[in-house]
Amino acid sequence: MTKRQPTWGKLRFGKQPNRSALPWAICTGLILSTILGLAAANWGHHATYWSNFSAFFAGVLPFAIAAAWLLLVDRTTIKGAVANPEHSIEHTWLAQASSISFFITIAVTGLASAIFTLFFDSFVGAALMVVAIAMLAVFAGSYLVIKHKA
Amino acid sequence: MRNSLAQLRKSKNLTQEQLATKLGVSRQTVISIEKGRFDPSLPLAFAISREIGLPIEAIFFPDEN
Repeated sequence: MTKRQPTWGKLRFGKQPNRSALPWAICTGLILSTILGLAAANWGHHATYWSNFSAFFAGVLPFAIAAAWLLLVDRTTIKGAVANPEHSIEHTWLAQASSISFFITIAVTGLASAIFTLFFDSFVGAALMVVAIAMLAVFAGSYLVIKHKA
Repeated sequence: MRNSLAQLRKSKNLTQEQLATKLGVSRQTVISIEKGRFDPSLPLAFAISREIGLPIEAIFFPDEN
């Protein structure tokens, strides 16, 4: 690491890897959002072409920039990055937070499903139950994959 | 797990930041290990052992309880 390291890291690809990744991520995000915005606008009514384009462009842009940055950046060059993040305590915190978040979300979804089914809209209750079951299925699948790799 | 990392690090005239940089981890990791709040992974324990210049069992001790 050097003192001149850009906050948002350097490019992972290309012949000049010392270039900052952020401008490239912004450009890629703008291009991607424009393409998706035009596609969405063509899909809708002609009268609302530009409003559809603007809404879709604005909605997609932050995610497109973030996705492009994740693809383009060399993570070891991000300001404050460490060589062995998997051995840092933050890695443990992340794993614990992910685990806690998952189980809280499952519990809340299950509880909400029961409440909606009993007292409100049973369709919403069923939909929430499907979400909870899907989350458990993904969890079981992930567990089996990890177990298989061990 | 208890450890004597803080004393050993100071005896080597290393700051927490310097040790963290040598180990390739965050300073918070070194702080938490020294306070006994975080048990390092085996590769990290070996790296600490290498930097301090002592075997792992001279740095880390099992809890008596």
